[in-house]
Amino acid sequence: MTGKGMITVLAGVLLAGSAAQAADLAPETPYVESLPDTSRDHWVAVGDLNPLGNADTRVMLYDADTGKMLGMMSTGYWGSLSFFPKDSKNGGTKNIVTLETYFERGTRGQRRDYAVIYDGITLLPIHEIGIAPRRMTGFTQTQMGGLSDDGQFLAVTNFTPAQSVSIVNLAGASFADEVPTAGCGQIYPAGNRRFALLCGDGAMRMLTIDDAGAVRGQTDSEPFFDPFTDPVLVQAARKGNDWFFVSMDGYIHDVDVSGDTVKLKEKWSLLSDDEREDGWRTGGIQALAIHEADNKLYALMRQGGRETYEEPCDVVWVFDLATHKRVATIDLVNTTLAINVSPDAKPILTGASFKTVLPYWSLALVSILGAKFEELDVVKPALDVYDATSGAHLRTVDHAANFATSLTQP
Amino acid sequence: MGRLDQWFETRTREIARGTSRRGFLASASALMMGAAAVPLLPVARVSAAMPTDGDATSCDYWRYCAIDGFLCGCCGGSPSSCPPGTVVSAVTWVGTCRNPNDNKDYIISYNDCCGRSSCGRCACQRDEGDMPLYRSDAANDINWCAGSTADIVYNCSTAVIMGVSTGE
Repeated sequence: MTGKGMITVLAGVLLAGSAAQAADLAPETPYVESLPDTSRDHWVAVGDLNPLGNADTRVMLYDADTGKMLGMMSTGYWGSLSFFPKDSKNGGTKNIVTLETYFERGTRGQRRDYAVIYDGITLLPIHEIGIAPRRMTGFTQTQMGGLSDDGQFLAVTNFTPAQSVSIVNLAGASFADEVPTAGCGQIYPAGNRRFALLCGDGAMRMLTIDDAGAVRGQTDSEPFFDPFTDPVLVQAARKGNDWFFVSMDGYIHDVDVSGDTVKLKEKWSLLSDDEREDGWRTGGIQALAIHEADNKLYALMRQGGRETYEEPCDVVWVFDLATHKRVATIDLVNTTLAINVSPDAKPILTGASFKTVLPYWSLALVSILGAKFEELDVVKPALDVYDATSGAHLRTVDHAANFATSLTQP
Repeated sequence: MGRLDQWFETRTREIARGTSRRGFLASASALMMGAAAVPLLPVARVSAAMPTDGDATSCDYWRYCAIDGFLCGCCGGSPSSCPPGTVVSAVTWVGTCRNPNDNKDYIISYNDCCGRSSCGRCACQRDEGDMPLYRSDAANDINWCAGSTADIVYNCSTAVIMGVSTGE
Protein backbone atom coordinates (compact mmCIF):
# COMPACT_ATOMS: atom_id res chain seq x y z
CA MET A 1 0.00 0.00 0.00
CA THR A 2 1.37 3.38 -0.93
CA GLY A 3 1.51 6.19 1.54
CA LYS A 4 -1.28 7.97 -0.31
CA GLY A 5 -3.46 4.89 -0.13
CA MET A 6 -2.86 4.56 3.62
CA ILE A 7 -4.00 8.16 4.18
CA THR A 8 -7.15 7.51 2.14
CA VAL A 9 -7.99 4.45 4.24
CA LEU A 10 -7.37 6.30 7.49
CA ALA A 11 -9.50 9.22 6.37
CA GLY A 12 -12.27 6.80 5.48
CA VAL A 13 -12.17 5.25 8.92
CA LEU A 14 -12.23 8.65 10.60
CA LEU A 15 -15.14 9.85 8.45
CA ALA A 16 -17.08 6.69 9.17
CA GLY A 17 -16.55 7.28 12.87
CA SER A 18 -17.76 10.85 12.57
CA ALA A 19 -20.87 9.74 10.71
CA ALA A 20 -21.65 7.23 13.42
CA GLN A 21 -21.30 9.93 16.09
CA ALA A 22 -23.40 12.35 14.05
CA ALA A 23 -26.19 9.80 13.85
CA ASP A 24 -26.31 9.74 17.68
CA LEU A 25 -26.22 13.54 18.07
CA ALA A 26 -29.45 15.48 18.29
CA PRO A 27 -29.02 18.73 16.34
CA GLU A 28 -29.29 21.87 18.42
CA THR A 29 -31.94 24.50 17.83
CA PRO A 30 -30.95 28.03 18.83
CA TYR A 31 -33.29 29.56 21.34
CA VAL A 32 -33.66 32.63 23.56
CA GLU A 33 -33.18 32.38 27.31
CA SER A 34 -35.61 33.71 29.88
CA LEU A 35 -34.60 35.12 33.24
CA PRO A 36 -34.96 32.41 35.89
CA ASP A 37 -38.16 32.79 37.90
CA THR A 38 -36.35 32.31 41.20
CA SER A 39 -35.28 34.40 44.15
CA ARG A 40 -33.74 37.67 43.05
CA ASP A 41 -32.27 38.42 46.48
CA HIS A 42 -28.73 38.20 45.16
CA TRP A 43 -29.25 39.67 41.74
CA VAL A 44 -27.61 42.99 41.07
CA ALA A 45 -28.17 45.47 38.26
CA VAL A 46 -25.02 47.25 37.17
CA GLY A 47 -25.65 50.65 35.61
CA ASP A 48 -23.18 51.13 32.77
CA LEU A 49 -22.75 54.75 31.70
CA ASN A 50 -20.43 53.60 28.88
CA PRO A 51 -18.62 56.94 28.68
CA LEU A 52 -16.89 56.12 25.43
CA GLY A 53 -20.31 55.71 23.84
CA ASN A 54 -22.88 57.80 25.69
CA ALA A 55 -25.57 56.92 23.15
CA ASP A 56 -25.35 53.26 24.14
CA THR A 57 -25.72 53.03 27.90
CA ARG A 58 -26.81 49.78 29.48
CA VAL A 59 -28.04 47.98 32.56
CA MET A 60 -26.34 44.61 33.06
CA LEU A 61 -28.05 42.00 35.25
CA TYR A 62 -25.93 39.56 37.26
CA ASP A 63 -26.56 36.70 39.64
CA ALA A 64 -23.99 37.55 42.29
CA ASP A 65 -24.13 34.02 43.74
CA THR A 66 -22.74 32.50 40.57
CA GLY A 67 -21.17 35.50 38.88
CA LYS A 68 -23.26 34.68 35.81
CA MET A 69 -24.52 37.50 33.64
CA LEU A 70 -28.26 37.03 33.21
CA GLY A 71 -28.97 39.58 30.50
CA MET A 72 -29.01 43.31 29.84
CA MET A 73 -31.13 46.24 28.79
CA SER A 74 -30.09 48.97 26.37
CA THR A 75 -31.03 52.31 27.89
CA GLY A 76 -30.16 54.70 25.07
CA TYR A 77 -28.44 58.05 25.52
CA TRP A 78 -26.97 58.63 29.01
CA GLY A 79 -29.33 56.20 30.73
CA SER A 80 -28.19 53.30 32.96
CA LEU A 81 -30.79 53.68 35.73
CA SER A 82 -33.07 50.78 36.59
CA PHE A 83 -35.88 50.32 39.09
CA PHE A 84 -37.45 47.18 40.50
CA PRO A 85 -41.04 47.83 41.63
CA LYS A 86 -41.97 45.74 44.62
CA ASP A 87 -45.53 45.72 43.52
CA SER A 88 -47.92 44.08 45.93
CA LYS A 89 -51.07 45.27 44.21
CA ASN A 90 -50.41 43.94 40.75
CA GLY A 91 -49.81 40.33 41.61
CA GLY A 92 -46.20 40.72 42.64
CA THR A 93 -44.90 41.67 39.20
CA LYS A 94 -41.21 41.19 38.55
CA ASN A 95 -41.16 43.97 36.00
CA ILE A 96 -38.08 46.14 35.62
CA VAL A 97 -38.29 49.86 34.79
CA THR A 98 -35.62 51.95 33.07
CA LEU A 99 -35.28 55.58 32.00
CA GLU A 100 -34.15 55.91 28.40
CA THR A 101 -33.43 58.76 25.99
CA TYR A 102 -33.16 58.61 22.20
CA PHE A 103 -32.37 61.15 19.53
CA GLU A 104 -34.01 60.74 16.16
CA ARG A 105 -30.71 60.30 14.35
CA GLY A 106 -28.43 58.94 17.04
CA THR A 107 -26.97 62.15 18.40
CA ARG A 108 -29.15 64.57 16.38
CA GLY A 109 -32.78 65.26 15.80
CA GLN A 110 -35.78 65.21 18.08
CA ARG A 111 -35.16 63.96 21.61
CA ARG A 112 -37.55 61.48 23.13
CA ASP A 113 -37.45 60.25 26.74
CA TYR A 114 -39.18 57.12 27.96
CA ALA A 115 -39.89 55.20 31.10
CA VAL A 116 -39.74 51.64 29.80
CA ILE A 117 -41.35 48.73 31.63
CA TYR A 118 -39.63 45.42 30.87
CA ASP A 119 -41.09 42.00 31.58
CA GLY A 120 -38.97 40.55 34.36
CA ILE A 121 -38.88 37.09 32.77
CA THR A 122 -38.56 37.70 29.03
CA LEU A 123 -36.76 41.04 29.44
CA LEU A 124 -38.86 42.37 26.56
CA PRO A 125 -40.37 45.88 26.79
CA ILE A 126 -44.04 45.80 27.77
CA HIS A 127 -44.64 49.55 27.79
CA GLU A 128 -42.63 52.47 26.45
CA ILE A 129 -44.14 55.44 28.25
CA GLY A 130 -43.27 58.77 26.64
CA ILE A 131 -42.21 61.30 29.30
CA ALA A 132 -41.11 64.95 29.22
CA PRO A 133 -37.82 65.00 27.23
CA ARG A 134 -36.02 66.86 29.97
CA ARG A 135 -34.62 64.27 32.38
CA MET A 136 -31.36 65.25 34.05
CA THR A 137 -28.06 63.62 33.12
CA GLY A 138 -24.87 63.67 35.10
CA PHE A 139 -22.03 61.58 36.30
CA THR A 140 -24.02 60.49 39.32
CA GLN A 141 -27.35 59.19 38.03
CA THR A 142 -28.25 57.90 41.49
CA GLN A 143 -31.41 59.54 42.93
CA MET A 144 -32.36 60.96 39.50
CA GLY A 145 -35.48 58.82 39.74
CA GLY A 146 -37.40 56.99 42.43
CA LEU A 147 -40.30 54.56 42.81
CA SER A 148 -43.24 55.03 45.13
CA ASP A 149 -43.18 52.36 47.80
CA ASP A 150 -46.08 50.51 46.18
CA GLY A 151 -44.36 50.56 42.81
CA GLN A 152 -47.26 52.41 41.17
CA PHE A 153 -45.44 55.65 40.37
CA LEU A 154 -42.00 56.75 39.24
CA ALA A 155 -40.66 60.27 39.87
CA VAL A 156 -38.02 61.64 37.49
CA THR A 157 -35.61 64.58 37.94
CA ASN A 158 -35.61 67.08 35.06
CA PHE A 159 -33.00 69.75 34.30
CA THR A 160 -32.90 72.09 31.32
CA PRO A 161 -31.25 73.72 33.47
CA ALA A 162 -34.63 74.77 34.89
CA GLN A 163 -35.60 72.14 37.42
CA SER A 164 -38.81 70.14 37.47
CA VAL A 165 -40.01 66.68 38.41
CA SER A 166 -42.06 64.31 36.27
CA ILE A 167 -44.46 61.72 37.68
CA VAL A 168 -45.01 58.54 35.66
CA ASN A 169 -48.01 56.33 36.36
CA LEU A 170 -46.50 52.86 35.95
CA ALA A 171 -49.69 51.01 36.80
CA GLY A 172 -51.55 52.95 34.14
CA ALA A 173 -48.57 53.10 31.76
CA SER A 174 -49.03 56.84 31.33
CA PHE A 175 -47.26 60.14 31.90
CA ALA A 176 -49.08 61.69 34.84
CA ASP A 177 -47.68 65.11 35.68
CA GLU A 178 -44.74 67.52 35.62
CA VAL A 179 -44.27 70.35 38.13
CA PRO A 180 -41.57 73.03 38.52
CA THR A 181 -39.36 72.35 41.54
CA ALA A 182 -36.94 75.28 41.42
CA GLY A 183 -33.85 74.57 43.49
CA CYS A 184 -34.79 70.95 44.26
CA GLY A 185 -34.07 67.90 42.16
CA GLN A 186 -32.82 64.54 43.44
CA ILE A 187 -35.50 62.09 44.54
CA TYR A 188 -35.96 60.09 47.77
CA PRO A 189 -39.14 57.98 47.90
CA ALA A 190 -41.19 58.51 51.05
CA GLY A 191 -44.26 56.31 50.91
CA ASN A 192 -46.88 55.36 48.38
CA ARG A 193 -47.81 58.89 47.35
CA ARG A 194 -44.87 61.01 48.45
CA PHE A 195 -41.41 61.81 47.15
CA ALA A 196 -38.86 63.93 49.02
CA LEU A 197 -36.50 66.14 46.97
CA LEU A 198 -33.06 67.40 47.99
CA CYS A 199 -32.67 71.17 47.64
CA GLY A 200 -29.79 73.56 47.17
CA ASP A 201 -30.58 75.50 50.33
CA GLY A 202 -29.93 72.51 52.58
CA ALA A 203 -33.60 71.59 52.97
CA MET A 204 -35.85 68.89 51.52
CA ARG A 205 -39.15 69.40 49.75
CA MET A 206 -41.96 66.86 50.08
CA LEU A 207 -43.99 66.25 46.93
CA THR A 208 -47.42 64.71 47.50
CA ILE A 209 -49.30 63.08 44.63
CA ASP A 210 -52.83 61.76 44.32
CA ASP A 211 -53.94 58.35 43.09
CA ALA A 212 -53.70 59.52 39.48
CA GLY A 213 -50.15 60.77 39.94
CA ALA A 214 -51.02 64.48 39.89
CA VAL A 215 -48.88 66.55 42.26
CA ARG A 216 -51.13 67.98 44.98
CA GLY A 217 -48.64 69.67 47.27
CA GLN A 218 -45.05 70.72 47.88
CA THR A 219 -43.84 71.36 51.43
CA ASP A 220 -40.38 72.63 52.29
CA SER A 221 -38.52 71.51 55.41
CA GLU A 222 -36.22 73.62 57.51
CA PRO A 223 -32.63 73.45 56.20
CA PHE A 224 -30.89 70.58 57.95
CA PHE A 225 -27.36 70.99 56.61
CA ASP A 226 -25.14 73.79 55.35
CA PRO A 227 -24.66 73.35 51.58
CA PHE A 228 -21.62 75.63 51.64
CA THR A 229 -19.58 74.53 54.64
CA ASP A 230 -20.38 70.81 54.84
CA PRO A 231 -22.71 69.67 52.05
CA VAL A 232 -24.27 66.21 52.15
CA LEU A 233 -23.70 63.83 49.27
CA VAL A 234 -26.56 63.13 46.91
CA GLN A 235 -26.53 59.36 47.28
CA ALA A 236 -28.26 58.26 50.48
CA ALA A 237 -29.40 55.00 52.09
CA ARG A 238 -32.87 54.26 53.39
CA LYS A 239 -34.19 52.37 56.37
CA GLY A 240 -37.97 52.49 56.64
CA ASN A 241 -39.00 56.12 56.93
CA ASP A 242 -35.44 57.30 57.54
CA TRP A 243 -33.00 58.42 54.87
CA PHE A 244 -29.34 58.58 55.85
CA PHE A 245 -27.19 61.21 54.18
CA VAL A 246 -23.46 61.61 54.76
CA SER A 247 -21.70 64.96 54.52
CA MET A 248 -18.32 65.65 52.99
CA ASP A 249 -16.81 65.85 56.46
CA GLY A 250 -18.30 62.53 57.55
CA TYR A 251 -21.45 63.43 59.49
CA ILE A 252 -24.53 61.25 59.10
CA HIS A 253 -27.81 63.17 58.76
CA ASP A 254 -30.73 60.89 59.61
CA VAL A 255 -33.91 62.49 58.25
CA ASP A 256 -37.46 61.34 58.90
CA VAL A 257 -39.74 61.31 55.86
CA SER A 258 -42.81 59.83 57.57
CA GLY A 259 -44.70 63.14 57.67
CA ASP A 260 -45.67 65.81 55.18
CA THR A 261 -42.61 67.80 56.22
CA VAL A 262 -39.14 66.24 56.29
CA LYS A 263 -37.46 66.51 59.68
CA LEU A 264 -33.88 66.01 60.81
CA LYS A 265 -34.03 63.19 63.34
CA GLU A 266 -30.41 62.89 64.34
CA LYS A 267 -26.95 63.98 63.28
CA TRP A 268 -23.97 61.88 64.25
CA SER A 269 -20.37 61.41 63.19
CA LEU A 270 -18.99 58.44 61.29
CA LEU A 271 -15.53 59.50 62.38
CA SER A 272 -13.62 60.07 65.56
CA ASP A 273 -11.79 63.36 65.81
CA ASP A 274 -8.52 61.55 65.08
CA GLU A 275 -9.96 59.85 62.00
CA ARG A 276 -11.27 63.17 60.71
CA GLU A 277 -7.88 64.72 61.39
CA ASP A 278 -6.31 61.92 59.37
CA GLY A 279 -8.48 62.76 56.36
CA TRP A 280 -10.90 59.83 56.49
CA ARG A 281 -14.14 60.40 54.59
CA THR A 282 -16.59 58.48 52.43
CA GLY A 283 -15.67 58.05 48.78
CA GLY A 284 -16.97 56.77 45.49
CA ILE A 285 -20.34 57.62 44.04
CA GLN A 286 -22.51 55.14 45.89
CA ALA A 287 -20.92 55.24 49.31
CA LEU A 288 -23.71 54.13 51.65
CA ALA A 289 -25.78 50.96 51.99
CA ILE A 290 -28.00 49.68 54.80
CA HIS A 291 -29.02 46.22 55.89
CA GLU A 292 -32.29 46.94 57.60
CA ALA A 293 -32.79 43.73 59.59
CA ASP A 294 -29.22 43.76 60.90
CA ASN A 295 -29.47 47.51 61.56
CA LYS A 296 -26.09 48.06 59.93
CA LEU A 297 -24.76 50.88 57.81
CA TYR A 298 -22.01 50.12 55.27
CA ALA A 299 -19.80 53.04 54.25
CA LEU A 300 -17.21 53.10 51.49
CA MET A 301 -14.21 54.87 53.02
CA ARG A 302 -10.93 56.47 51.96
CA GLN A 303 -8.33 58.94 53.13
CA GLY A 304 -7.72 62.16 51.27
CA GLY A 305 -8.72 65.77 50.86
CA ARG A 306 -12.24 66.95 50.09
CA GLU A 307 -11.47 66.87 46.39
CA THR A 308 -11.23 63.07 46.66
CA TYR A 309 -14.82 62.64 47.86
CA GLU A 310 -15.87 60.80 44.71
CA GLU A 311 -12.75 58.71 44.25
CA PRO A 312 -12.73 54.92 44.64
CA CYS A 313 -11.94 53.31 47.98
CA ASP A 314 -10.11 50.30 49.40
CA VAL A 315 -12.20 49.66 52.50
CA VAL A 316 -15.77 49.47 53.83
CA TRP A 317 -16.57 50.41 57.42
CA VAL A 318 -19.63 48.80 58.99
CA PHE A 319 -21.58 50.69 61.66
CA ASP A 320 -24.25 49.63 64.12
CA LEU A 321 -27.09 52.09 63.53
CA ALA A 322 -28.21 51.79 67.15
CA THR A 323 -24.89 52.62 68.77
CA HIS A 324 -23.24 54.53 65.87
CA LYS A 325 -20.13 52.46 66.59
CA ARG A 326 -17.98 50.87 63.94
CA VAL A 327 -18.42 47.11 64.31
CA ALA A 328 -16.44 45.77 61.34
CA THR A 329 -13.98 46.71 58.63
CA ILE A 330 -13.97 45.01 55.24
CA ASP A 331 -10.81 45.30 53.17
CA LEU A 332 -11.73 45.35 49.50
CA VAL A 333 -9.91 43.25 46.94
CA ASN A 334 -10.15 45.98 44.32
CA THR A 335 -10.47 49.73 44.57
CA THR A 336 -14.23 50.34 44.56
CA LEU A 337 -16.56 53.08 43.35
CA ALA A 338 -20.03 51.90 44.43
CA ILE A 339 -21.43 49.44 46.97
CA ASN A 340 -24.73 47.72 47.65
CA VAL A 341 -25.95 45.28 50.30
CA SER A 342 -28.68 42.71 49.64
CA PRO A 343 -31.67 42.87 52.01
CA ASP A 344 -32.03 39.14 52.76
CA ALA A 345 -31.03 37.11 55.82
CA LYS A 346 -27.70 36.07 54.27
CA PRO A 347 -26.67 39.40 52.84
CA ILE A 348 -23.97 39.96 50.27
CA LEU A 349 -22.00 43.14 49.74
CA THR A 350 -21.40 43.94 46.08
CA GLY A 351 -18.91 46.48 44.78
CA ALA A 352 -18.41 48.10 41.38
CA SER A 353 -14.63 48.21 41.22
CA PHE A 354 -11.53 48.64 39.12
CA LYS A 355 -9.49 45.47 38.87
CA THR A 356 -5.87 45.30 37.82
CA VAL A 357 -6.10 42.47 35.31
CA LEU A 358 -2.42 41.47 35.26
CA PRO A 359 -0.53 40.06 38.24
CA TYR A 360 1.57 42.66 39.97
CA TRP A 361 4.81 40.76 39.39
CA SER A 362 4.21 40.97 35.63
CA LEU A 363 3.79 44.71 35.92
CA ALA A 364 7.11 44.82 37.72
CA LEU A 365 8.64 42.86 34.86
CA VAL A 366 7.31 45.01 32.02
CA SER A 367 8.28 48.07 34.00
CA ILE A 368 11.83 46.79 34.28
CA LEU A 369 11.74 46.14 30.53
CA GLY A 370 10.99 49.80 29.95
CA ALA A 371 7.21 50.05 29.58
CA LYS A 372 5.65 53.18 31.03
CA PHE A 373 3.81 51.71 33.96
CA GLU A 374 1.16 54.42 34.20
CA GLU A 375 0.27 54.02 30.53
CA LEU A 376 -0.41 50.30 30.72
CA ASP A 377 -4.09 49.65 30.13
CA VAL A 378 -4.41 47.11 32.91
CA VAL A 379 -7.28 48.41 35.03
CA LYS A 380 -10.77 47.16 34.10
CA PRO A 381 -14.22 47.55 35.69
CA ALA A 382 -15.30 44.52 37.74
CA LEU A 383 -18.06 43.41 40.11
CA ASP A 384 -16.84 42.09 43.47
CA VAL A 385 -19.01 40.00 45.78
CA TYR A 386 -18.44 39.66 49.54
CA ASP A 387 -20.22 38.00 52.42
CA ALA A 388 -21.66 41.12 54.05
CA THR A 389 -21.59 39.53 57.50
CA SER A 390 -18.09 38.07 57.58
CA GLY A 391 -16.55 40.36 54.98
CA ALA A 392 -15.10 37.36 53.13
CA HIS A 393 -14.48 37.91 49.43
CA LEU A 394 -16.59 35.38 47.53
CA ARG A 395 -15.94 36.13 43.87
CA THR A 396 -15.10 38.77 41.28
CA VAL A 397 -16.84 39.11 37.93
CA ASP A 398 -14.38 40.45 35.40
CA HIS A 399 -15.36 43.18 32.93
CA ALA A 400 -18.81 43.52 34.48
CA ALA A 401 -19.48 46.68 32.46
CA ASN A 402 -17.66 49.25 30.38
CA PHE A 403 -17.98 51.63 33.29
CA ALA A 404 -20.23 50.88 36.24
CA THR A 405 -21.62 53.90 38.06
CA SER A 406 -24.46 52.36 40.04
CA LEU A 407 -25.56 49.11 41.64
CA THR A 408 -29.26 48.44 42.07
CA GLN A 409 -30.91 45.61 43.95
CA PRO A 410 -34.17 44.03 42.73
CA MET B 1 9.11 39.22 45.22
CA GLY B 2 6.73 39.90 48.11
CA ARG B 3 7.70 43.49 48.85
CA LEU B 4 8.02 44.34 45.16
CA ASP B 5 4.63 42.79 44.55
CA GLN B 6 3.13 44.81 47.37
CA TRP B 7 4.68 47.99 46.03
CA PHE B 8 3.16 47.33 42.62
CA GLU B 9 -0.19 46.54 44.19
CA THR B 10 -0.14 49.88 45.94
CA ARG B 11 0.89 51.65 42.75
CA THR B 12 -1.74 49.97 40.60
CA ARG B 13 -4.44 50.73 43.14
CA GLU B 14 -3.35 54.34 42.94
CA ILE B 15 -3.49 54.15 39.17
CA ALA B 16 -6.88 52.50 39.36
CA ARG B 17 -8.09 55.45 41.37
CA GLY B 18 -6.52 57.79 38.89
CA THR B 19 -7.84 55.77 35.99
CA SER B 20 -11.29 55.91 37.36
CA ARG B 21 -11.11 59.64 37.71
CA ARG B 22 -9.25 60.54 34.61
CA GLY B 23 -9.89 57.59 32.39
CA PHE B 24 -13.48 56.68 33.08
CA LEU B 25 -15.33 59.00 35.37
CA ALA B 26 -14.25 62.09 33.66
CA SER B 27 -15.94 61.16 30.47
CA ALA B 28 -19.27 60.71 32.08
CA SER B 29 -19.58 64.18 33.42
CA ALA B 30 -19.28 67.74 32.48
CA LEU B 31 -19.13 70.94 34.44
CA MET B 32 -20.35 74.42 34.95
CA MET B 33 -22.43 77.23 36.41
CA GLY B 34 -24.66 79.90 34.95
CA ALA B 35 -22.64 82.04 32.60
CA ALA B 36 -24.84 84.92 33.56
CA ALA B 37 -23.29 84.82 37.00
CA VAL B 38 -19.79 85.42 35.70
CA PRO B 39 -20.04 89.22 35.51
CA LEU B 40 -20.97 89.20 39.19
CA LEU B 41 -17.77 87.48 40.16
CA PRO B 42 -14.70 89.35 41.36
CA VAL B 43 -12.98 89.14 38.03
CA ALA B 44 -10.65 91.49 36.22
CA ARG B 45 -11.20 90.80 32.54
CA VAL B 46 -8.18 89.70 30.58
CA SER B 47 -7.67 92.28 27.87
CA ALA B 48 -6.25 89.98 25.23
CA ALA B 49 -6.58 86.31 24.47
CA MET B 50 -4.23 84.41 26.69
CA PRO B 51 -1.90 82.02 24.94
CA THR B 52 -1.84 78.42 26.02
CA ASP B 53 1.09 78.29 28.40
CA GLY B 54 1.26 74.58 28.98
CA ASP B 55 0.42 71.22 27.51
CA ALA B 56 -3.26 71.53 26.60
CA THR B 57 -3.47 67.76 26.16
CA SER B 58 -2.25 67.02 29.70
CA CYS B 59 -4.67 66.64 32.59
CA ASP B 60 -2.05 68.31 34.75
CA TYR B 61 -2.26 71.61 32.84
CA TRP B 62 -3.09 74.27 35.42
CA ARG B 63 -6.30 75.48 33.76
CA TYR B 64 -7.86 72.06 34.28
CA CYS B 65 -7.84 72.20 38.09
CA ALA B 66 -11.60 71.72 38.35
CA ILE B 67 -12.36 70.10 35.01
CA ASP B 68 -14.36 66.95 34.46
CA GLY B 69 -14.49 65.58 30.95
CA PHE B 70 -12.60 64.90 27.75
CA LEU B 71 -10.09 67.64 26.95
CA CYS B 72 -11.16 69.50 23.82
CA GLY B 73 -7.48 70.13 23.15
CA CYS B 74 -7.26 66.44 22.25
CA CYS B 75 -10.50 66.40 20.25
CA GLY B 76 -10.06 69.01 17.52
CA GLY B 77 -10.49 72.04 19.73
CA SER B 78 -8.36 73.71 22.37
CA PRO B 79 -8.71 74.83 26.00
CA SER B 80 -10.73 77.78 24.70
CA SER B 81 -12.38 76.39 21.56
CA CYS B 82 -14.76 73.63 20.58
CA PRO B 83 -14.06 71.07 17.84
CA PRO B 84 -15.55 71.69 14.38
CA GLY B 85 -19.22 70.81 14.10
CA THR B 86 -19.99 71.14 17.80
CA VAL B 87 -21.69 73.94 19.71
CA VAL B 88 -20.62 75.65 22.93
CA SER B 89 -22.83 74.97 25.95
CA ALA B 90 -25.09 77.87 26.74
CA VAL B 91 -24.40 77.72 30.46
CA THR B 92 -21.35 76.76 32.42
CA TRP B 93 -19.88 76.75 35.87
CA VAL B 94 -16.66 78.46 36.78
CA GLY B 95 -13.71 77.48 38.89
CA THR B 96 -10.63 79.25 40.12
CA CYS B 97 -7.20 77.90 39.20
CA ARG B 98 -3.78 79.17 40.15
CA ASN B 99 -1.38 79.73 37.25
CA PRO B 100 2.02 78.56 38.44
CA ASN B 101 3.70 80.78 35.85
CA ASP B 102 2.62 84.03 37.51
CA ASN B 103 1.09 82.73 40.77
CA LYS B 104 -2.19 84.51 40.02
CA ASP B 105 -5.63 82.98 40.41
CA TYR B 106 -7.68 82.87 37.22
CA ILE B 107 -11.41 82.42 36.78
CA ILE B 108 -11.93 79.49 34.45
CA SER B 109 -15.19 78.80 32.61
CA TYR B 110 -15.56 75.08 31.91
CA ASN B 111 -17.86 75.20 28.91
CA ASP B 112 -18.82 71.92 27.34
CA CYS B 113 -18.82 71.31 23.62
CA CYS B 114 -21.96 69.54 22.49
CA GLY B 115 -23.52 67.85 19.48
CA ARG B 116 -21.18 64.92 18.88
CA SER B 117 -20.86 61.73 20.89
CA SER B 118 -18.22 61.62 23.61
CA CYS B 119 -14.78 62.33 22.17
CA GLY B 120 -13.18 59.66 24.31
CA ARG B 121 -9.68 61.16 24.25
CA CYS B 122 -7.72 62.67 27.14
CA ALA B 123 -10.31 62.05 29.84
CA CYS B 124 -9.52 64.25 32.82
CA GLN B 125 -11.24 64.83 36.11
CA ARG B 126 -9.89 67.04 38.86
CA ASP B 127 -12.32 67.94 41.57
CA GLU B 128 -10.86 71.01 43.23
CA GLY B 129 -13.90 72.78 44.69
CA ASP B 130 -16.39 70.35 43.17
CA MET B 131 -19.74 70.21 44.99
CA PRO B 132 -22.79 67.90 44.87
CA LEU B 133 -25.39 68.28 42.11
CA TYR B 134 -27.72 70.58 44.06
CA ARG B 135 -24.86 73.09 44.26
CA SER B 136 -25.10 73.61 40.52
CA ASP B 137 -22.97 76.74 40.83
CA ALA B 138 -20.03 74.42 41.57
CA ALA B 139 -21.06 70.94 40.46
CA ASN B 140 -18.89 69.35 37.82
CA ASP B 141 -20.96 66.15 37.72
CA ILE B 142 -23.75 67.83 35.76
CA ASN B 143 -23.96 67.36 32.00
CA TRP B 144 -24.26 71.02 31.11
CA CYS B 145 -24.86 70.34 27.47
CA ALA B 146 -28.45 70.28 28.77
CA GLY B 147 -28.55 74.00 28.17
CA SER B 148 -27.20 73.88 24.63
CA THR B 149 -28.87 73.78 21.22
CA ALA B 150 -27.52 70.23 20.88
CA ASP B 151 -29.37 69.21 24.05
CA ILE B 152 -27.51 66.69 26.26
CA VAL B 153 -25.14 65.32 23.61
CA TYR B 154 -21.72 65.78 25.25
CA ASN B 155 -18.46 65.82 23.28
CA CYS B 156 -15.65 67.45 25.31
CA SER B 157 -14.81 70.17 27.82
CA THR B 158 -12.94 73.46 27.54
CA ALA B 159 -11.24 75.61 30.17
CA VAL B 160 -11.75 79.20 29.07
CA ILE B 161 -9.99 82.00 30.95
CA MET B 162 -12.48 84.66 31.98
CA GLY B 163 -10.16 86.89 33.96
CA VAL B 164 -7.91 87.23 36.95
CA SER B 165 -9.52 86.69 40.31
CA THR B 166 -9.24 89.82 42.37
CA GLY B 167 -10.19 87.86 45.44
CA GLU B 168 -12.76 90.44 46.48
